[in-house]
Amino acid sequence: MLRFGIPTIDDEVGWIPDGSRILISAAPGIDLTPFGAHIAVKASENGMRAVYLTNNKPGTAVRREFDFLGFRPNGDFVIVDAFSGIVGLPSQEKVCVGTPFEPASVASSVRDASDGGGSVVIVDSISSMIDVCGMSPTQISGLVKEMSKKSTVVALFSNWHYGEEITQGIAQGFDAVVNLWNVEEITTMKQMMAISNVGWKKVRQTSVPIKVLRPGGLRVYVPKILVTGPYNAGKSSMTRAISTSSVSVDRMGTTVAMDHGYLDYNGFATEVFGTPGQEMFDPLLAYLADEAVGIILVVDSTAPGTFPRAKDMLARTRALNLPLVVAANHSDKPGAKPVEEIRAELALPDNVPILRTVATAGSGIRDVLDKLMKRILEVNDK
Amino acid sequence: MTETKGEALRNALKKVTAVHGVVGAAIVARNGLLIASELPKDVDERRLGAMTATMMGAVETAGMTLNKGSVRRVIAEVEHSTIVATGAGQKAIMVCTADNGVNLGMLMLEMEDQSAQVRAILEG
Ligand SMILES: Nc1nc2c(ncn2[C@@H]2O[C@H](COP(=O)(O)OP(=O)(O)O)[C@@H](O)[C@H]2O)c(=O)[nH]1
Ligand SMILES: [Mg+2]
Repeated sequence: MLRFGIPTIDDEVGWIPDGSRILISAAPGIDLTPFGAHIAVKASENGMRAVYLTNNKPGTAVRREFDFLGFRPNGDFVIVDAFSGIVGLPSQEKVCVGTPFEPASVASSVRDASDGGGSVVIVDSISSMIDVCGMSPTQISGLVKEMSKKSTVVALFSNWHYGEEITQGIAQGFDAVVNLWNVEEITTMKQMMAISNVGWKKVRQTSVPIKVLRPGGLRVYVPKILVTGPYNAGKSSMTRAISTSSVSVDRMGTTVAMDHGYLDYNGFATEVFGTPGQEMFDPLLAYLADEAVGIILVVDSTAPGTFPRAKDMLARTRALNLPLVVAANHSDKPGAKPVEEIRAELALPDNVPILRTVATAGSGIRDVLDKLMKRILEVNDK
Repeated sequence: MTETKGEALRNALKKVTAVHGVVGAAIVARNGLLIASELPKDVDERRLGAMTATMMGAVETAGMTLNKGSVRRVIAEVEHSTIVATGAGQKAIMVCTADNGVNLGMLMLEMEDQSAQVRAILEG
C-alpha cells in the first residue's frame, strides 16, 4: 500500500487502499513534476512498482527532475512514454504508447508496464490529455478506472481555468482530491496542500504549507523556528544539534549576531534562527523573533541565576503566544534543577513542555523537536 | 496573464543584476526570511538573507543609538566581493553582491529605483 509521506496528511488519510484513484489538482503555475516524483519514491519505498506515464515531457526530463530532487527510486521504476508519440519523435524509453490520443492505447501500455499488479501509476498529466489529446472527462474517467483495476492511480492536473463542468467531470472519476494552491502575504509566498473527498475514510479538512526541497523532495514547511535563551545556556549548541547544516556568528566564543541552520526532520523543513543571549543584543531579538512559528527556549538547568533573564526573553520574543518548548539543558551536570522547579521559576503554564537535554551530546533533542512540531501543527489546525 | 508577485520581484532584481559587475541580488524580509532571489546557484541564499537582516538590524540599532536617524544603506567590502543592502519599504531589504570593481554610484542608483519598485509590489 501507498502513503503520501507527508506529516498531517498521513495522519488524516493513513494508508491508501490499493486500487485507489487520487487526483492532485494544482492552481496554474505550480510545477507538478516534483509531486509525481515524490509519489514514485513513496511507491518504491513501500515495495511497489512506480509506473510514470508522461505525455507532456520526454522521459529524460522526468529522470532529470528525479536527479534534481536527489531521488533514486530503489524498487521497480518504469517510464511509459506517451510524449514521443504526440510530438512524433522516436522514443528513448522501453515502454512507448503507440497512439497517445486513444485511451485504449494508453491503457494497454500502462497495463503492460504495471504487469503483476501492486503498482502505482502516476499520470502526468490529465491536463495534456484534455488539451493535447482531446480526451473528454468521461474518457479520462474511463481510462483512470481501467488503470486502477491493477494499480493505485495518482493523476496530476494543472487546473488552467477549465471551468466548473470539466473540473467536476474530472474529479468525479477519483476517490480523493488533493488540492494545491499559492498563498501570498506581504513577505511570504507559500504553497498549501489539502485533501478532500476521500472515499475510503472520513477525514477532517486539514491544510498544510508545503515546500519542495532540492534535493530532498516534498516537506511540510515551517518557515522559522527561534532558539533563544540566556548567555551560555547552549543555544548555539542546540541550533547545531538540531540542524542538518548550520553556522554561528561567534566572536570570543559567544554569539554576536545569530545562529542559522536548516532543519529537515520527519517530513518537516524549517530554518532555525538562534538569538544572542546577552542583553546588549536585545534590539536584534525583535528582528529574529518576527514571524517565528515556534520557539525553543534553552536554559542552563544548573544556573537558576539566569532564570529571570530567560523569563525576560520569553516576553521579548512573545514566546507565550506561540508553540513553545523549553529545553532544560546542561542536564548532564550535577546541580541540574528538576523540571518542576524550572517551571515554577519561569512561571510557565502546565501545557508548555519542559524537556531535559544535553545539547552538546544531542540527547533529548528528538523529544524537543517532536513536541515542538506537534504543537505547531495543533496551532496550524485552528 | 498578469505576472505574479514573485515574478514581479524577480524582474526588479534582474534590473539590478544587469548592472555591470553585479553578481546577484535578493529581497529579504527584515525578519531574515528570503522573499525572492536572483543569486548564483552556489550561493546559500537563505543564509545570506538571514545575515543581511541581522546586519541591517544591527546598523539600524547603531544609528538609533547615535540618534542619527534611520539606515539608508549598508555597504560591506569583503575580500573578494562588495555587499550592498538597502531598505525596500517597512518589511523588506534588497541586498546585492558585486565584484569589488563595481561602479558603486551606478549600482546605488539602480538599487534605489528598484527598491522603490519592490516596496510598491510588496505593499502596493
Ligand atoms: N555539559 C554540557 N555543556 C554544554 C551543554 N550545552 C552546551 N554546553 C557548553 O556550554 C557552553 C556554551 O554553549 P553555547 O551553545 O555556546 O551557548 P549559547 O551562549 O547559549 O549559544 C559551551 O562550552 C558548550 O560546549 C550541555 O547540555 N551540557
Ligand atoms: Mg551562542
